[in-house]
Amino acid sequence: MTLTQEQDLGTPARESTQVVSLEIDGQSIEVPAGTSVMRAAALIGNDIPKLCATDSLEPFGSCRLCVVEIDGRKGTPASCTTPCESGMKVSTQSPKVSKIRTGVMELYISDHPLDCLTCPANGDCELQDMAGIVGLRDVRYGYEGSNHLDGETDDSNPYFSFDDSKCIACSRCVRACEEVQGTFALTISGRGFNSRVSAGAGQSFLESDCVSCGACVQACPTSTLQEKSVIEIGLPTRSVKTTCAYCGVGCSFTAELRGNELIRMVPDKTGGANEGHSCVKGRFAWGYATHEERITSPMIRDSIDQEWQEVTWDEAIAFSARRLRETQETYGVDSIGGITSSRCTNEEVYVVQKLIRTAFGNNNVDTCARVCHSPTGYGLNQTFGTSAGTQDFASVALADVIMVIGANPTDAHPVFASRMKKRLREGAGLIVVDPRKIGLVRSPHVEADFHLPLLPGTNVAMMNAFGHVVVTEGLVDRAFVAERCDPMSFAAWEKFISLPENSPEAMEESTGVSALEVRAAARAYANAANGAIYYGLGVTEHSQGSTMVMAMANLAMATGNIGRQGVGINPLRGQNNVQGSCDMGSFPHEYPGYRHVSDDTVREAFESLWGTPLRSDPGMRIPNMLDAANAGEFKGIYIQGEDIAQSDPNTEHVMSALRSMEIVIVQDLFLNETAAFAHVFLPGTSFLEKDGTFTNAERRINRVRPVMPSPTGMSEWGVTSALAQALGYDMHYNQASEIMDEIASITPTFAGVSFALLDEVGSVQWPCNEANPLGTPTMHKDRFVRGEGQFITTPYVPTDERTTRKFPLLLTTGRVLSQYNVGAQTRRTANSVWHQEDILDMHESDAEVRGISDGDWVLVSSRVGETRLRVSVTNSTAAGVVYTTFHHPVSGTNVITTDNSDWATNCPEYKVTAVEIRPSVMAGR
Amino acid sequence: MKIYVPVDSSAKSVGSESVAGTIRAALPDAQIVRNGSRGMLWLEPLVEVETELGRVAYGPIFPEDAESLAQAIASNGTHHKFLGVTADLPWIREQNRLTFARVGISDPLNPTDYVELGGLAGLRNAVAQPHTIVDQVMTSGLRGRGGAGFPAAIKWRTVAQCEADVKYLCINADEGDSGTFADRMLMEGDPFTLIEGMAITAIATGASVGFIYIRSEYPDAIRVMNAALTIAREQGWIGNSILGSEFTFDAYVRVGAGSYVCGEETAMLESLEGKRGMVRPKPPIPALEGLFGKPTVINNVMTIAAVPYILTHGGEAYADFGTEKSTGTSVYQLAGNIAQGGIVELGFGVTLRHLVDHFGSGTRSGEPLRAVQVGGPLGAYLSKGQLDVPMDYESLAGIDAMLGHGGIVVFDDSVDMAQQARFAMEFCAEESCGKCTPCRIGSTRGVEVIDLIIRGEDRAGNRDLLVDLCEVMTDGSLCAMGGLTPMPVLSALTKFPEDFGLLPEGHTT
Amino acid sequence: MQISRLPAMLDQITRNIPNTGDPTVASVAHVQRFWTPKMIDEALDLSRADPELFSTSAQKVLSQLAPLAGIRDAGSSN
Repeated sequence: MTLTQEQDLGTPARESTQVVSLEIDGQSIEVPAGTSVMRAAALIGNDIPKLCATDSLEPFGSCRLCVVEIDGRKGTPASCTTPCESGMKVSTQSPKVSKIRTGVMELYISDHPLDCLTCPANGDCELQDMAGIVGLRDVRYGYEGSNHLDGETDDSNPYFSFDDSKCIACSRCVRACEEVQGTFALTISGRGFNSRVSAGAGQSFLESDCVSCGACVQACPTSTLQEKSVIEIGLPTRSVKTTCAYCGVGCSFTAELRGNELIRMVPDKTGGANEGHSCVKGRFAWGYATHEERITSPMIRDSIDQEWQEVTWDEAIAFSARRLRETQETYGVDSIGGITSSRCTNEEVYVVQKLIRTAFGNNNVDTCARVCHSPTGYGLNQTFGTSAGTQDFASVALADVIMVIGANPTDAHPVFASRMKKRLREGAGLIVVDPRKIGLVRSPHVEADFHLPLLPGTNVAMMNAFGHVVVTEGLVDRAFVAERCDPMSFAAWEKFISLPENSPEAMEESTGVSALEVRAAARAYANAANGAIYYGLGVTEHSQGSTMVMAMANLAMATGNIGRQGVGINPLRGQNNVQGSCDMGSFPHEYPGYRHVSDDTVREAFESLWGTPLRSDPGMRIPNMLDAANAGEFKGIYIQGEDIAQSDPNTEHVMSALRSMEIVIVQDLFLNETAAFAHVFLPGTSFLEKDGTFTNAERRINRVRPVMPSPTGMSEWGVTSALAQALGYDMHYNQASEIMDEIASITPTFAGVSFALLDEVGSVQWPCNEANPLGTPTMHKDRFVRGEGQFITTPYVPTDERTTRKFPLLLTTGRVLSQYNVGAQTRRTANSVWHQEDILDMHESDAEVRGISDGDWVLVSSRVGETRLRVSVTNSTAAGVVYTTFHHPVSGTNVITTDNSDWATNCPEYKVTAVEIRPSVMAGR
Repeated sequence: MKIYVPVDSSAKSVGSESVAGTIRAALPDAQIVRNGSRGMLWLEPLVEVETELGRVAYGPIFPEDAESLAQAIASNGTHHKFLGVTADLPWIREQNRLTFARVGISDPLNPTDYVELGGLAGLRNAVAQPHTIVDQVMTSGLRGRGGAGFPAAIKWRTVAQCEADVKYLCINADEGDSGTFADRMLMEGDPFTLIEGMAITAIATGASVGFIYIRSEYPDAIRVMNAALTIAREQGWIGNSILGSEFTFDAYVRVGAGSYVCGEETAMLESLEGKRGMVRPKPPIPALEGLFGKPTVINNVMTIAAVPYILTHGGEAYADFGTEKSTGTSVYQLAGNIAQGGIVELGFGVTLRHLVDHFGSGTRSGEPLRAVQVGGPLGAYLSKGQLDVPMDYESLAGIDAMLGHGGIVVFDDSVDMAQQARFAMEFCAEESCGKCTPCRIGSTRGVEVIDLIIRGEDRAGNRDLLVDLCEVMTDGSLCAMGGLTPMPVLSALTKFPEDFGLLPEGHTT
Repeated sequence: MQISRLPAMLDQITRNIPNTGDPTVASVAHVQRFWTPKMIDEALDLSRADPELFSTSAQKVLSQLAPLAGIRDAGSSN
């Protein structure tokens, strides 16, 4: 139940080319064949009473409130499960159906507590509504009969409770867990009158497989499954539509509040990315926004060994400007730079890069996307001509074979994973290329046809082997290649990939995966009517990250899997606005819209718009900045919402660089690890306070609307503008929409974008311009953006980071569902109940030879550092490979990662670190 | 010398295993054949001996009678349990055994006997003229024996016309109605007939995989069916090439888990898919989207077991039996308080009185008959005055009753019909899958309301409430479980109001 | 002392650059697209001081970058 009273049409939409026309209560309507009578009636404003039906779930037909009469048919069919047929004449109200509805309601209420006035769902309860609608006046059975009124409440989940006494056994929660989320944690136990909702086999919600996505709470028509915030505070009274700020799925939510107190976040059915679904983070883990550790006043200090001093915004801005200018005067124009944040809005990012290019007078701007998806931008730009994924999320529903490479969607992109699992349950094939046995390899009703557990660092070897099979077994889509791709580059690639050294047999030794399996998987992908590739940081965060992206693009082009629904190359972006921050010109060599700074025409356009001369030479990337700092040449940095001291590799190297600087400005919500080295702390705004846009992994530009006022008193773009002003550059905007208007005026792919358009249509996927006024869900439809698809040869070059006698194991890293990246937000919520610490997964044989048992503390050492972690002995990783997460600063995961990086983009090689592991008696670091 | 000692579980339950052992020990040279049951359950264990006159019967031969019988046989002497030539016994002679023609005659798992007794002729005809199967069955008028009586040929035609990579044939052998045992006796006594019927159905509809869903309470039937399927595969009756033809069909036994509602066809599909046995809404009908979403024929054991006869003798020969609309034979099962319980296969339309009085020989207790429940626990209670009803679909429907699976349970005058009505609601409460509200909550409330009536609390008001509840259950329930429970309740209430402390309708208190 | 990462970076580029056409030319283009002028100058300085710091393929790239460095500096607009 939600406060927002969107009409619930009862059953999902059906697609059909066939239209049927029927009469409902004398009113004519035409609907696609397969549409239920209930939905058809609702579409003409005739809401038939219902309890077990809701339009996010398949019809179930259990409550029997929605019965109708149909001319010429026996009995009283349920309108939710009865499809419309041409010529049907339906009566939704008659003495007979009225009697059934009242009789059913009488039965319901005979087993329901009569505590409406003190019930948290009072006024927001479908059972209550229906009792009124069917005209129930009397419960003749009395209330003395068998009942469930003493049913227990399960409070184990930190965010919602399950009150068994209020359950009407409609199965909406069970079905939501199955159909929407795909976890199958809930079931109905017992039968008949004893049918009760049960999490797992008689477990509590917390102990069960429940992933706390909230789909069940969303689906519950009563207060049985209810947000604890509603129980504690009461129902919200106002709502604001906005966008989640966690991962790159970019779910739309309705924030529901009383005054300025946020009560709950309700996933938005009209959200293009999530269509009403959510995960534990977006749905529930927003409490950090009002966490007591949040800093709301600007602070400065002369040196990092001093205490922080709270100051006014003016003082902080003036101090920052003075220091930056002094630094440039002493060490040169290029001695300062900045980092934009993928957590911030497009508008906030845009003004930071603008500040650097104008007021700083150099191109030393980079983004935290450097450390995650920079190879995606590079690789897809080289091959297709656009630095972005090719599809919308809905595309997966048409995929026949899905290949997931180096991604763990059920943990890191859960809402998209639910879509994917739905398609897999419908029978799509699944190939998982990952060193670990991730959740998708085997979970309820989903099982990978192939799991290729390759050794970390051998992605390109694997993809080349796929390409080899496709070319040498005659599986190339010649027609597609001839029509759409550059023939010269294809010929070169074909020749290269056919070389025996690229065969699965030759690559077996590198990847550790049997050639037979690889061949079978390659055939499965190539032979699929629609083959779709989804990938994550397991692809990009390698020394050959960019090469791998191009290798996948080659494979997709060679098999014709580009340019329509159900196919494509789809990066699963880690953060809410990775795509947007890249689009907004955060790279040192590119302006917004991925245009090189040396392009005179483009640069002149920006110079004219911004009213200042601009540099034509690329600036420094983050690692270059840090290297230069350590060399004494880079002295000042403005960091917008990134904790490089925790998230960037080789922590010691990062810290010494920061320590060497004259001015470090951190703009963030919390005093993060990097703030320990800062001279200025500019309090940032949470997503609940921002006004702007985020762009998700499918290029979808979503509105972020201010849900509550910022406790800092300033918007982040306002702070950036003030800093520009203080530095003598006239940057001024009255509101965030003006920034987007400026972006649209200068960026061809954003030409049609405005807040007004987004407010009107909800969201658009760029390119959004005159040719595509409502955006572009599928890219490269008739031609590639660059013209012809470019094949690029991708020789496998093993990483320098390899195991030795001293460091015989390979460490790789990833995320869990409940925590998010460095944990700055999620650790400040109740999500920690699911994940209190980072754990090292280790294969039992590796553990045994080292005398390590489950739960032991171990010392993990690499050639750059060491840290201590607790071990979980498992077989979800292969022998020789260990795995951990990096959500807790105390773990110091990046103390041991090296400064190896992608050859093309310098994206760090987080996914491969040679380590040794020894038992350790000491707990913690 | 051939001696027949039934292996049917009804015979085993009264000692036939021990009888067989005793006779085998006493007559080591005799050939002991373990046959199915002839269906005269009050005579089980019914031992038969092959003689010049034909097979003669002795029964009931309890373990204590076995030794003396063996001696009598050995010495060509007489025995006080001698019944005469089996085929001439009136109970057998007066039946039209089409479906049960081979049950009780021979070793159920002997394929040679099966063919010698006329088996496989139907399948041979089917393979020779596959396109005529549906027409033959249409001509026969064969209707589903599970209770609903839907014409089998129409269902088959629907499935036959579907395009699908795989189609299924599911046999409902979850025979859960009280007082029914025909499916079990056929599966234990002549499993090849069911398999032959399945193979014919598969050829007619294009089904390539079959499942026989047998309730777990039938361990013998499960064992026999599994063994019979293995033999049928070896014989080439099913498998990759049915009787050497291009037709492919294989079948497997699946065992239920003790839920009555899994006899409802869609709940059975859920169970076969490994899910909780819950009823699915229709549409989609299983013929279009059934097991695992594929076109599926679902028929009862008795329906499919009638098919070999139809294909052997032609649809018209079958339609010669029965009434105009209820063609063919029905396998009635006499149970409850009855002197002579068992299987009676006769054309539709025989009166209930003929079955109960003539074949059943009245109550077992000897007390006057008071009520008969026809069609299982959800069937109506008929009063003494209704015994002349012809036993066919239409006639029973005409008196608000139903034939169901052909179960007939007799009660004498010691029965308390209010308790029987209560039992119907209680059975529903116990067995409801819990999906739809009228059945899930209504059945429990039904028990409570009947209890109030029995206790004498506001009898008139609660009677009205009970009648209202029955209307909601009848009209509002998702499947027949909740939809039919009111039938025994209301029939008891209206025909035997005095048991509820109520005056007959029309009378005022 | 900070050891320059540039020789290793340049070597990595030459080893990974897609090898259609001339890898040296492709590497030169890549470096010009992504490196700051200062990095290029630093690499050139390093190679002049100690060519052995650079792999053979990297040296080839540097040899083609050298004449371009001056032109690029002249074109800088700031």
